[in-house]
Amino acid sequence: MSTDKNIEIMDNPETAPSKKRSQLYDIWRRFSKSKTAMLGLFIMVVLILLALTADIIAPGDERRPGYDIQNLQNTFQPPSLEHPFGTDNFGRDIFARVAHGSRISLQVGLVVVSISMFAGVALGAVSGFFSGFVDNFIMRTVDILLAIPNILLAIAIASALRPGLGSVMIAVGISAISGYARIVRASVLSLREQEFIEAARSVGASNFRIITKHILPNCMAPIIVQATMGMASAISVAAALSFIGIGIQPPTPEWGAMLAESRRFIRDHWHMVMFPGVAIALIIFALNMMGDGLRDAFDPRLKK
Amino acid sequence: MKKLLSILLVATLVLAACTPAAPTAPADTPTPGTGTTAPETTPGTPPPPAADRDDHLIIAAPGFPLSMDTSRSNDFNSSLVNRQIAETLVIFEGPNFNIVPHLAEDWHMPDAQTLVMNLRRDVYFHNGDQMLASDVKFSIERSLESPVVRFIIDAIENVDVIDDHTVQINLRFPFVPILGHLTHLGSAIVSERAVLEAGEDFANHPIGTGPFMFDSMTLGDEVTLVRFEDYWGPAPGVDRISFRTIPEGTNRLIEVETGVAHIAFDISPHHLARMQDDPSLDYNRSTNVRIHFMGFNNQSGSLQDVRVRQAINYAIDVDAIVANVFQGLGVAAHGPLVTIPAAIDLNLYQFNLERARELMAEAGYADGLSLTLWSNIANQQDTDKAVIIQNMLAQIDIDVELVSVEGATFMEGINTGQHDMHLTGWTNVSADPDYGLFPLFHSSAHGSGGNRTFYTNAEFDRLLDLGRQELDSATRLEIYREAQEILINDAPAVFIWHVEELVCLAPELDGFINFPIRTPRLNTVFFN
Repeated sequence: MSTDKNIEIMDNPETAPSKKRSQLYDIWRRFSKSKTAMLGLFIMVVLILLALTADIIAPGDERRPGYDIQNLQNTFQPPSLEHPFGTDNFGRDIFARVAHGSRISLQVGLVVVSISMFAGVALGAVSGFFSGFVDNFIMRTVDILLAIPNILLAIAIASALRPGLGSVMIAVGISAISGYARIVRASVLSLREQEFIEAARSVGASNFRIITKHILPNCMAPIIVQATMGMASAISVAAALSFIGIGIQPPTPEWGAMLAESRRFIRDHWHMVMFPGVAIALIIFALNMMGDGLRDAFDPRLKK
Repeated sequence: MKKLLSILLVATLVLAACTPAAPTAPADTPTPGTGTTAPETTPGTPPPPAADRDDHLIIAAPGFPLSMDTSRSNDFNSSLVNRQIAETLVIFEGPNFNIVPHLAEDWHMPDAQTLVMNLRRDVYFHNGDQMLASDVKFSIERSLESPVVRFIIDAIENVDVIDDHTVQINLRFPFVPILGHLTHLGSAIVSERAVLEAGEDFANHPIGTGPFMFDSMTLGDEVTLVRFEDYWGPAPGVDRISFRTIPEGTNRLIEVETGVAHIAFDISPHHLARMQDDPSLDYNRSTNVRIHFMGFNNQSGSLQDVRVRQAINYAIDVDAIVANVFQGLGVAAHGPLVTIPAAIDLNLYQFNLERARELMAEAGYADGLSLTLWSNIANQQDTDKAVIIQNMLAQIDIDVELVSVEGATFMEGINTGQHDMHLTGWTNVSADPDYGLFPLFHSSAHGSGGNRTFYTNAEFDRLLDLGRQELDSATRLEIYREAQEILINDAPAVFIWHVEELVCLAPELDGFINFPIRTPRLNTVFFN
């Protein structure tokens, strides 16, 4: 079709694949140069592996899941070979709970980012592309969302819904929409005046097609960066919500909930608080470092 | 810049990991390791005559009083303050919950529906007025109009003034255990003149007959009381008391450790070991009239079958829960009544998984079933129990869904029977078998009346009705023993724990006696 011709005109078909590869390669080269970004990536890979293999390294029995094997005769054990992170007040292995908890945190992060990214990108693109009343209406709504502190908004939404992991994810997801909407709108505003959009329009491409095929692919870089950082803040907001007791039901090994449950033992059994706390800190640290690295990699001009 | 940031981050992590590990020994205790001298209870040592110094007792309380009007409050924090300011006609004494004279000198019941009381003649209110029969009539009838405390004394119809120092309390129905209910602060005597003068503002300037009178308060933070010089009883051992609001249990303990406060209430059982090991801390353990239990909704699906209820009773290892959640404090409960003379121990449901599985199979649930367990999320001990019970019931293939919700949702849910099982407690404020059984299990009290198990048994109901009218205490005891036997066999609940209260004390303090209904009278306390 017409757009395919456009691409052909812009890129020589013979060199196109190799050129694409080299662009990706460039990004990866710049990303891998940053030691902190690579450390972040490494931590994330370890955590994802932990989440994938949680059932193998911390298996359940026929009646109970791996994170809820209680042994009331074996409570408050400090870290040892048998229990690398020690045991909690119900004699559950904290390592098993942290491992299973990584699934929840990653799940929360992915779902929240999906919700907020999908809604935010759609709103931002529509708003930036059409301008006028639509733009005003959407962006003022987003401004209102922005004016309410994220955590407060999430608390309000989570308490209105039935308690559970689902409502936490929806709540945090909604509260994070505004960030994506603003970023995407800003990109769209600068993109829509460019010549290739005009070209697309002149060959009769629909608005939908222009937005999805021409504009959005060109603002992927800031979206990816925002998603990586957004995942970090989503995980920390979800952990905070669990910490104050909204959302996740016991005995779910959500890291924030684990912190909240063990906080009362902090003076006598530090290990109960430390490991879930370190896990939260690590995942957020890793995601933020990756986000930083990605931003620099996507746009080398930003650096220095 | 980024590198510096990440280094900082790691450094904070490492620091955070290291700090809490070593318990800090107070610098002023040169001989660690010497055993503690914490007494179980300090028997009523008479407080010394008031010294010329200004003894200021500081209390760390879990919350600020909801109201200092005894007819408008029924929570721990209010009672803790109000019990020093206002007094009741009779009080409990000793571990057997003997009811002894207080503002009333003596009394008799001509029949099961009438109580005649002679009042002390040497009692004065904080505003200087003498306490008269008219104040008693006014106070009790005022409490009867208050939705907050009415249920405690709702057996009372009205009060007649016989003369200035004699009242006749008329009951709506024969109700022998009325004396126990008159120990509750909801029936405390306040000054009629002061209430009429202050109106709604009375709660901010309460006037009672107690050993301490209201001095000042900072809303949400602190209440200060001073000694009442004309108190009719033994003179208080301290000059002033301040109640400070410190919501976190650990922080209350630290307040005493650091010498800021002298008494910390509501200390979690997990701190017992620390208080035993730390020579700079004393503590007080005392059993009280509260019981923890898990109620079944006896009208909900599979739980209508007594075999399922019994199976769950067999499958829950109550001793293990007590050892874990309560660190062995208190007593594992085997029946509905706390350790009062009427309580019986059939010891029917010893932990027995085989028996539990048999009963489940007999009832047709060999493949298991799913039940909800409701608890109030604000109550950490209930949440802990819920998590353990979920694990224990998995052993007989009962899949328990935990519903931990905030207080109002919880109450609404269990009052309207949305639950299969629920965790709660009951404070038997009259220490009488009637109040320990009637509101919880009589069929007339279904729902918000207190019977959230929706248990219904005509014979049990009949016995409880009989017990209320029986004047002969031996026969009465028999009635309640029989009723408990029926109840325990029917298993409308799993009885878990008789509460033992833990209070942290500064070692320089003496004379502390905890009251069996949780809030002590502090006039016996003095500094060494």
